[in-house]
Amino acid sequence: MLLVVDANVVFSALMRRGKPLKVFELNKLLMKFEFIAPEFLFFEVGKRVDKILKFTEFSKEEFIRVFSFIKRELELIPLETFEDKIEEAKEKSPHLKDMPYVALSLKLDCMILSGDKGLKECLPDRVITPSEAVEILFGGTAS
Amino acid sequence: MAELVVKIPEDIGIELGKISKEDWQLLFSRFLRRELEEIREIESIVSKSKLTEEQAKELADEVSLAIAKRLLEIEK
Repeated sequence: MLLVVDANVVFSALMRRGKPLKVFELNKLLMKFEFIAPEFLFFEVGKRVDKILKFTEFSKEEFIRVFSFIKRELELIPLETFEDKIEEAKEKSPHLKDMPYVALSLKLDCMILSGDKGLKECLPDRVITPSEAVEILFGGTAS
Repeated sequence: MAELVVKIPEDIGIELGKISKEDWQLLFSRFLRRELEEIREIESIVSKSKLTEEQAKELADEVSLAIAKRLLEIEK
């Protein structure tokens, strides 16, 4: 099952007791999902390393270790691949920030993995939450 | 020790030749141990994280908006 991962999931995975990290860990073993994300996701994360280190209180080595783990689970998709879905995505997205993930999910006809409540409320049939993903990994179906 | 039956896909079986049942067991337990060790290490680092939900959202929104702006640039 192909899933678009948004930045919300990536950052929530760096939080203590967060479900998103569980999703990446379980999927590493069970390989039920193929995670994709828009190109430049990691580039933009990388530009904010100082802020991430300040907030998490990780050492640089610890951050690199966790970040590499998540990075290995994701495939980046070039923006040009789904630029033809920008207009449709703009109309469907609750905020401009959600547009790249919606465009990518429209292009590849797949769902978005996100913990963003606004996005889930706006597109309930196109978004699965990390809790729902964990449920699927354990053999259930997304509600 | 718990027992688990694992079916090896035919193509993998051919590639790895005639590996004995005992060696498959060893191979599988080494693989699983290595995977679980990595997960344990990641868990241990993240368990110390001081990142709050609000901070995670702030960072995520910044990154997402930056990607959206790049995408709009391509469209122009």
